[in-house]
Amino acid sequence: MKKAALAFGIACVTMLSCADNVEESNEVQKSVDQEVAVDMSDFYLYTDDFTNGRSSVGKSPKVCFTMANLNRQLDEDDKLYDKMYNIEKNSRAFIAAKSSNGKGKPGSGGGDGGGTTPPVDDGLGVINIPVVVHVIYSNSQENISDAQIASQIAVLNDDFNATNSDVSQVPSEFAGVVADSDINFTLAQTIRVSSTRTSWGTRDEMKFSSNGGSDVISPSTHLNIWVCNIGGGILGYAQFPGGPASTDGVVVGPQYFGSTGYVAAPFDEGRTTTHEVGHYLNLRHIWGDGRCRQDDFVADTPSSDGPNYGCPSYPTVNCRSNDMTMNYMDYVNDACMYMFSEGQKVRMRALFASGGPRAAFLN
Amino acid sequence: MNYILGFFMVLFAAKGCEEQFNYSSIDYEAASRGVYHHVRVEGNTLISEHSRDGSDRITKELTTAQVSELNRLAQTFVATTADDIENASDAADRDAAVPVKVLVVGGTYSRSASFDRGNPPARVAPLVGRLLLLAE
Repeated sequence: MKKAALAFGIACVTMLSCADNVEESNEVQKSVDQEVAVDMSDFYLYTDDFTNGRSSVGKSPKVCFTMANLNRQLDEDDKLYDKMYNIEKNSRAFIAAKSSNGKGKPGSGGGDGGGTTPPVDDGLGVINIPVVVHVIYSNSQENISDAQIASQIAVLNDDFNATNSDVSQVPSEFAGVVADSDINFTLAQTIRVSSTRTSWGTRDEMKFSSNGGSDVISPSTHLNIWVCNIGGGILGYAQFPGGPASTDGVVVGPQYFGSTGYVAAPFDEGRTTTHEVGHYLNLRHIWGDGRCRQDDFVADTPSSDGPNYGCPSYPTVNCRSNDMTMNYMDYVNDACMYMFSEGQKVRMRALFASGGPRAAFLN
Repeated sequence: MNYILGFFMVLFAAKGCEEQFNYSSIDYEAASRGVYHHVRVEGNTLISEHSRDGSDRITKELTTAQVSELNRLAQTFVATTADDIENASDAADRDAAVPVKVLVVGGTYSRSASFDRGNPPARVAPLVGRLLLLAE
């Protein structure tokens, strides 16, 4: 009988041990959930208190894992942090100085999301951006025509000046914040490079002639666009301001560049390049690359908890407000994106102010 | 007799423990503007889709051995700490990577991880690799 009791005891211990493991698992999950809810990965740009700056990183001995990520990234690349931090600081200072409400977050006049925003007169005038297009091709289709390149330049000019024909589709809720950014693009040079390489990935290898690609041209005064097959389903990618000059610019697949020629639906209206140039000009994705609490640093674009795809119907509700799905910085099809907001305009143009990373474009 | 009784009681308890840890579903989703791949396993049924409307959906029945292997790999992931699965990359913020989410749900737990496609954290990689292989 004692042996039976002993066996029963072992069985109980086994079950309790099992239950403990489940509890531990649940605790870990709770911890993860809490960390997601208070995601602060972008705090160094998000915070309004720039005087704290970097010193606030690591002050707390116990930080969430997203913060730990940030710390690690910063440890790995101190200079990049400093550059991006200063760009954000200078942009906000410039915007605050120029806006009537004195706020550094562009588009603040209409509240957080939608509404009307008083235009900011930044005194910069019309900004002209010369464009160098590097066409790197492994077959005749990828060696896109001059007409296809011209169509992309035309799309950029339309989209950044709100002269696109589909801007009229913006719902009335957002019509008041549609922006004419006063940014023009002119084709300065086309460089064509033949290569046996059929896909280039996202590690910037196409930006160096030593890899069989094409070297950047005058990045302080020119927008460089590399048109080549990226592979892996990637349509295009960008580099934010503050990155290395040798890789400054955007990369777009030939089938997603321009609106005529070798293009593929539903990304055949040149909006991939518009989106990537938005990143090049310091815009974030419309959902802030996080959940509802993570911002894109622009007040007149409503919060969202993730990208929209395809062609969403209006209204699409997330985070208790209607998403601005038709914004170029969402992930919808080309035909379903047709506006930048006033807040995004101010944020982009601030880069060209004196001391800004793109100031040389105006000299 | 008492030994036999005790043996069966321990066996019963261990079986209950195993059932508590068995996954009820595993989800893998890679989604970007030009990419979509969703794999879902419920029990021994695997569904794979490359289009958001599900028009190219394929369904497979997994063998007992495959389910058992997935379960073992899933539990390795479930037992990870947050630090084991952190994702230090911001490449998706500028469209240079396709973000992936993996979610394992069991009777009393759920565990998720996010990372760039092609670069899963080490503790998730075996599960992801096997799942994608089964989905082919």
